Amino acid sequence: MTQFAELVVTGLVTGAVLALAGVGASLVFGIQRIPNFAHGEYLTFAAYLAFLLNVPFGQNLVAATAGAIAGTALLAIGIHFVVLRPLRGRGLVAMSLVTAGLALMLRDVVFLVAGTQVRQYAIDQTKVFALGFLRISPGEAVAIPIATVVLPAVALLLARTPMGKSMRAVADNRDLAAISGIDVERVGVHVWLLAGALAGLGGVMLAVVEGTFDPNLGFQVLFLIFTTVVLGGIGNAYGALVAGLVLGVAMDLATWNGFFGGLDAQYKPVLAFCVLIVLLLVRPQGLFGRATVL
Amino acid sequence: MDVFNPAFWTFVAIMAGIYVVLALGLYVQFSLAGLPNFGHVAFMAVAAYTMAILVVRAAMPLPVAAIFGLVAAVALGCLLGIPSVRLRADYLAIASVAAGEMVRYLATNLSWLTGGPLGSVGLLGPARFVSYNAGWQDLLDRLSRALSSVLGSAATPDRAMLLVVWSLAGALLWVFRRLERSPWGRVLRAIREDETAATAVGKHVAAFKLQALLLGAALGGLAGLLLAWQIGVFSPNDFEPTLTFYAYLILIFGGMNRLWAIPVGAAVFSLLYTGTQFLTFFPLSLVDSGSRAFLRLFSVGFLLVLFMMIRPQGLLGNRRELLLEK
Amino acid sequence: MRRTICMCCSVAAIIGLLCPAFPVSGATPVSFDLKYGVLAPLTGNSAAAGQAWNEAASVGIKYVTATLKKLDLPDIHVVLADSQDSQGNTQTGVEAAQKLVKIDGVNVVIGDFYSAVTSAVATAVTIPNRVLEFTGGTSPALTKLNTGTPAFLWQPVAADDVQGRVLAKIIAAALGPHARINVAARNDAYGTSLSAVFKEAWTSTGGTIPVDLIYDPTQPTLDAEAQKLVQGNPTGWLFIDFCQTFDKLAFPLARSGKWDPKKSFGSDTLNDCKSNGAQSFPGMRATQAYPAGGASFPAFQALFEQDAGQRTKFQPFTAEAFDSVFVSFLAALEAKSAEPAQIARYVVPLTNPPGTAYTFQQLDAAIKAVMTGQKIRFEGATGPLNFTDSGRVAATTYAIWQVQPDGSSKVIKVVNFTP
Repeated sequence: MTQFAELVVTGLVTGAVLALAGVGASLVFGIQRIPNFAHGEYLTFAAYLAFLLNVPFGQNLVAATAGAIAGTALLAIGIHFVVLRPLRGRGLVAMSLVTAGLALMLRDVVFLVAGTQVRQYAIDQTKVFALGFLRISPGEAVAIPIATVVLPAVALLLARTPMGKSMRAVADNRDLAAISGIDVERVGVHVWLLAGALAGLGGVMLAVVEGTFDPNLGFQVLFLIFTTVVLGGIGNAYGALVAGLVLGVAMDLATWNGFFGGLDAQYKPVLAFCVLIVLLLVRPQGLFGRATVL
Repeated sequence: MDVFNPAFWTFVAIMAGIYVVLALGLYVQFSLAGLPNFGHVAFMAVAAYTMAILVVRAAMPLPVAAIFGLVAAVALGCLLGIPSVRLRADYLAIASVAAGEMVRYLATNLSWLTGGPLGSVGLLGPARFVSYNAGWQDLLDRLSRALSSVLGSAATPDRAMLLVVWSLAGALLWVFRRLERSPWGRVLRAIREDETAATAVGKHVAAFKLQALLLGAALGGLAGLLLAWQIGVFSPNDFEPTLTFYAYLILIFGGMNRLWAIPVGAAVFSLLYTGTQFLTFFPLSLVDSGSRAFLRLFSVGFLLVLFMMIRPQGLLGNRRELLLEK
Repeated sequence: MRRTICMCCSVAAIIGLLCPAFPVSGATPVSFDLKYGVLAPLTGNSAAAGQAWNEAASVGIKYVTATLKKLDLPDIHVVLADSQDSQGNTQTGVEAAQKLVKIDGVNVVIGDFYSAVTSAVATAVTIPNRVLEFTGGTSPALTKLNTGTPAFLWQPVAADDVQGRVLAKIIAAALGPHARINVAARNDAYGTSLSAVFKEAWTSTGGTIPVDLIYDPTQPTLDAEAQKLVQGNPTGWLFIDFCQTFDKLAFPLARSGKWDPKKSFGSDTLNDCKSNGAQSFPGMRATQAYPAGGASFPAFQALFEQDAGQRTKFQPFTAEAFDSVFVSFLAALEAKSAEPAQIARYVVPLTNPPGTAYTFQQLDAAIKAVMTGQKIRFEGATGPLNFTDSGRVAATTYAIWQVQPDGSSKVIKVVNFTP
């Protein structure tokens, strides 16, 4: 039972990271029609920016995270204006290649500047917080409250604010949104701002949860983020929130002994892809996606 | 430093020829049928593994094993095709990456069958060394001996391989040029431009898409076989999604919808990719050799983005045609 | 007049006497031009290890060049022609090796440490082109690629089939032969092959393995894997991983409260994680082949850290690359040639008794000894090496490292092992 509960907690933490990154990637995919293969590198960039503020500059982790969120949002906007906006409308494959090229550039810049060795924030990773019968890490202790505040806040932002509403409207049907008087161009900027900020938070959280990290941090979860996006339905922000959490928990629970003795750990990474393909066989538009074509 | 060593450039040219076959497969799937397949590398993996396993374990002659390899690639195409043709393009793109990664993970983990992470060398267990390539080397030796009556001492197994790969690539390009202009090719183009209209005139859209997917799968399988023979050894890590990206890059370099531009794209790609290995001159010589490796990949990414911004239609493409596309 | 003739005669006689005496005194100008190439995954998931590998090789080459300059031997050139990135896959590795061999014309390739890449590079590039390759790969299949003697592919590290049995012996000595050992290995050629050999050796002598785990170290968290590893009531643990990714597994293990680093053993890549920038866990032990006599390993580490500065963190296993540089240089010196086939003939005598032992720190003395025709024996930073004709090492002495309370690691015991 303890094992089950602990697996659910670690799964939820990974899931929260996937959800945060997934919401941004999904909105970008839906609104800008860009499968952003550089999204993982946004997470890496944020993790290193926070490291820079936290360790060499001695700021506390909260300030460092705030800095990383702002910095990554700026990075996302910058790339939008310099590279992606001029290339708008080039089609799925062309945009995939451009973002893959950007990913290569960003990853190798981080490697060049930060070096290859593993890094960790100025927190004691071996400390244990006992929460009833659960033993959780400092990373998880930080990640859980953040996730419980931020994920509903993001949902609320999308549901209630004019900006969130127009984002969902554009993702749903771009032309209809445009004739209803929504400034599609501005929404495009906002969505990158949001995606960058969420990737920033997700990146720092991922780094904290992993304990130690190197410049491959974000790239290693890229395909999990995409799986989240597709499971939730491309462009569907709520879908991505739920899909991220479900995917995180499912992956950790798969190895639980109570689940038919547990899946062999070496097949764990395949699980996400299996789930994705089986789901698409049943629902070609994703878990929460709509069947209509844009 | 012997920059113009012909043996080296023969190797590069052989690789470019294999890339032509690989990219041609994507051309059929994407440029003709509009299926953005990002898991193309899976067909290579399945064909190469089937061929190697049959040669090593079943002692099958190489040509027979190669045919089974192609059959396996097409079978995988069928398996993927049934859900794929129903998917919207953006879902298909991601799902196909997932399918490709699944094949790679299975090749890593089913070590009793595939030799595990060590790759083809460990097909019969990690402590034994096996090769599937003897038959192919024999063939190249015989071919180079036959060629030596014409070329004299210039005939080497490497050059025989070059000849084999590029004649195959040329022949395939010609065949697909004919196919593209046949009624079959015109239907595919129609489907890509407007699926609804094609359905309205009574064309079975899904069947045509599936046919294109399977043809592409066979070409991908062929490229996988050629690569396996050329390198002599392969492992699951060779079939990372990056390779599919390279194949798309070749299509883009040439001009997305230009069949005859594929060899141009492959040549440009190979030159750029190989060329970045030579970044050791001043001022890059001031940077240490380890950091240069990062700079190299950075410059590959940078050139890619730059190319897409300056010449999105490819070297031989037409800008107006590009803007008409979605 | 007579005196002049006399003098001329005696001068001529002296010159005549001196001339044949010159080569006898060992002053034949030895001249060769030895080119090294490094092949390693300099980017991607194994970038940290690959960069350290490259650094170890280049620091070795720099040391050789400096020593040659000090001894004033301008006719011997030793250079690192280029370092190429294999990205850990065979196709890129072969392309990179083609560049090193065909364009740069290297005599010796140092790398790769991926067994799959080494096998491809050896079959497609180095062996057909008769170029020496020193691999860091540990697969026992690799040296079987050699088509004859002398070997062109050399493996300066104990292969998995030896190391797995050494680990079994060390764990049996510490925890008893019937202990219950949980095994965790990274999912690559190194991890799967080493854990398979260990499992066989361990169970054949009466030990049990309650949990046998192969995991993908690139996953975001390894908490679920850690949960598995504390099940089955184990007496001890064996981990096969790199420091770079091991923390991800060790943190949740430590958190579980059921893991004891003092009862844990690591493979030869986990012997000193602190100097690698990662966390280390006091009490944990790891094994590495070890020199019988004066160890030059600390000197190698100091040299590495001084040269690399903050750029690249030290990784103990890269001593293999460092040793390979010296073995091939000294063998070339004995062969008086940079011709790979000639160098290969001297690798076995150079690393086996008889002869006075020299470490890299006594390189100047070793060079002088070779030039005067003495038989020397080179002792590497990893151990005595003892290459056999097949290209493998026959090291018989292993060191057990243990992490100290302050996190640093040191050798606590040396054991003998006869395969």
